[in-house]
Amino acid sequence: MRLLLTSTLLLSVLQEKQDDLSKWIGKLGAESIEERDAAARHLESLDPAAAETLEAWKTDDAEIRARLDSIAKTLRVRASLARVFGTTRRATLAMKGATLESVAAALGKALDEKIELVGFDPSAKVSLTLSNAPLWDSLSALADAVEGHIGYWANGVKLSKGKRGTLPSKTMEQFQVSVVQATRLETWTPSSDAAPAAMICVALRYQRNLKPTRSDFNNELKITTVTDAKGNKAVARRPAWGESLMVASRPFAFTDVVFVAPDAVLPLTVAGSVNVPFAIEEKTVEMAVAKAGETTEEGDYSFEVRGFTSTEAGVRFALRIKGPDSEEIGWRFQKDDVIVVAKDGSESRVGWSGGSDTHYRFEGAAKVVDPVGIKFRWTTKFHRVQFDWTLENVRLP
Amino acid sequence: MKQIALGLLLILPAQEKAPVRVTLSESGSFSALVRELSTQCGVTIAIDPSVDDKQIKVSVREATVLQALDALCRAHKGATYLGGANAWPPPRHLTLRAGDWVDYPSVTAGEFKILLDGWQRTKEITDAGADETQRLSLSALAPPNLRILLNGKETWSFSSIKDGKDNDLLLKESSEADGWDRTRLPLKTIGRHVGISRAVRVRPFDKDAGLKLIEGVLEADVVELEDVTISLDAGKETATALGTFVVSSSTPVKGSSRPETRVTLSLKEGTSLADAFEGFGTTDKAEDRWDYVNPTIKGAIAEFQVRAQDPGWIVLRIRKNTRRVKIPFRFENLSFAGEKK
Repeated sequence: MRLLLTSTLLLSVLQEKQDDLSKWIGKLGAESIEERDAAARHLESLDPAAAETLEAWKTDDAEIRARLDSIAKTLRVRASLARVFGTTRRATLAMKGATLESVAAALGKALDEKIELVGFDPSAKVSLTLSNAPLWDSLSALADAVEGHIGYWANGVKLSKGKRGTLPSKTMEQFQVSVVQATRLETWTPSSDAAPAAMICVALRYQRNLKPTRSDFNNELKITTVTDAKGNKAVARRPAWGESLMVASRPFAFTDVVFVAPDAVLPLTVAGSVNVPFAIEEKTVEMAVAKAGETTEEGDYSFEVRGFTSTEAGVRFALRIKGPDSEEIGWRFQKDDVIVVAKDGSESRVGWSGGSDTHYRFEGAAKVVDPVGIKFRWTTKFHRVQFDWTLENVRLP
Repeated sequence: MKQIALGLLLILPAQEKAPVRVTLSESGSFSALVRELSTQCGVTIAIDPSVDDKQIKVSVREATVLQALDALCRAHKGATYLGGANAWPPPRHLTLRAGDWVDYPSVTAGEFKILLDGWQRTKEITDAGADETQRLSLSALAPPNLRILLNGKETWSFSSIKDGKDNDLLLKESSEADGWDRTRLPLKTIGRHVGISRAVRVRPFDKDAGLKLIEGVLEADVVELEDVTISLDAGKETATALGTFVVSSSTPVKGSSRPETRVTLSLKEGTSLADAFEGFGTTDKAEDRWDYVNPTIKGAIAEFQVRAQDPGWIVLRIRKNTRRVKIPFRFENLSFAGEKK
């Protein structure tokens, strides 16, 4: 492994000669946002070992210095993600004038993804060149090559017709933070002056082989600031005319939404953070329900079933969990996957009906005859994916 | 707003009783006239203390309850039953609160009323492309003794939507995505707690040129509401419109941080209780508190939890006489221009 890393570093250093590096770093101070963005993307794609070089780089330009530090931080986070979660799905392709069907198949094979073409002529000719590009960048490149857009669904990747919107993104190994929606809203009601509004949705997407310890976190992806082109704060209050926000749910993604001033000077810069525990190891905990007060232990945590009843009205019980960190209990316990086991081996899923981080109530609609135990999944080891991100050049329609 | 709204015939099964009609033609304090309306229609109507109990004059003959309510609020100018906070649980009774009275473009059809309460344009750039959508928001209101059920069986069918230039704005639902994959901020529905709403997506049009026509029909299940008091003494029977209830058990919940009782009721006749309750009740006569009790139903058995220790009785709101109604609506010549306050 060390040998592999060393040779990669050498290759990186050879490829990225000092004068080239100097050229890319110089572009970090360019007038054009697009040029700055391209330079940052290039530098962020370097081998993580380049972080030290970037940190030590001498420059009098404060903005370039800040960007170099941010890129170095990104490289270090990338290194840590690669260490914890293993190889990022990447693709290297050089296909010119090939059929779309064959390009999609080759890319799918490289990324270990099934890519379905929706509405495209499979025999259409397309060219795609990728060099060690991570999954998210590879899929975007394919979409751009055919003026399509990508859906990352539970049953595979769908490439559909219709050019994807120009929205900024940041890829971090298996993860990508991107603006997925920028919206202007104009309303009218007879009762009030419905002021215009605007909102931006940002998503954190992750490779399908990764698994967050749970899917209902509150602050897993957080937009912290939005500034306009003049550096002014551009976050706005949710308009009073609005009903509950209907946040679109995407598979393999977390989303956050922010309202922004519709008259803010564009483009906007959106910044925030990611803090999501992903499971490394899980196990199924099985325990009896018969004896009150009996506990089962797993590591530093203990579990106790309380008030178990099974009547014509259904099954009810509470699960009390004790441990050193009550917040971590919420991350480790898979409360949406709890099963009551009967004497004959049959299993009935029960639903979580409320409680706290240490006391969970469950209900099942049907009576379980001769219940003997419950079982549930418990995350024994996890890794918190934590990093800050900034997306520049965000435009409203 | 310049508009003409025509209510068409309400189609109801022949055996249904005629809708309540009220006549108010007098001057008096707002509260006295609301009480008179309550008496005539047999439904409690509450007034929030924030409403000025001023003298008003009103004149309606053989009107529906909603028409009479509109007339009272219109005469008062500072009272309304529409909109308001999204309180949970909702108030037990229809409550008139302080607020500007707004005459929405509306259609009266039998006891019901359908109104146009908003328009919204969304322009967006997404990872699937750029798009513009427009939606019209309609609400269907029922008088306080009835409930239009939001049970998945309600269907809003639009036969024609035309803009001021006679362009057809109607989209075929099956051929146009409804933006389910987009994050949306819909308009607040004004008929909260008294009706149901629907935002219909239309082809983009010039709002300033107005709308020539919105025509369609709402089909939905409607139930009558009745508050019944059920004794929680074990074994005691209570006759209701749904049948005779027997209390199977009423036990305090152990380990709860507040006083709670779990109650199991069953219907003596064994009829199914599916969709039989509104989900709210009270054991507190003095405060008239309205709690969410969320009964779990299994056949003829209902189990629920109330926030009281050994309450002795409970008031539950039941649904009875479910019927299917068709509520046609037709709005003509609607103008959006220059109407904002």
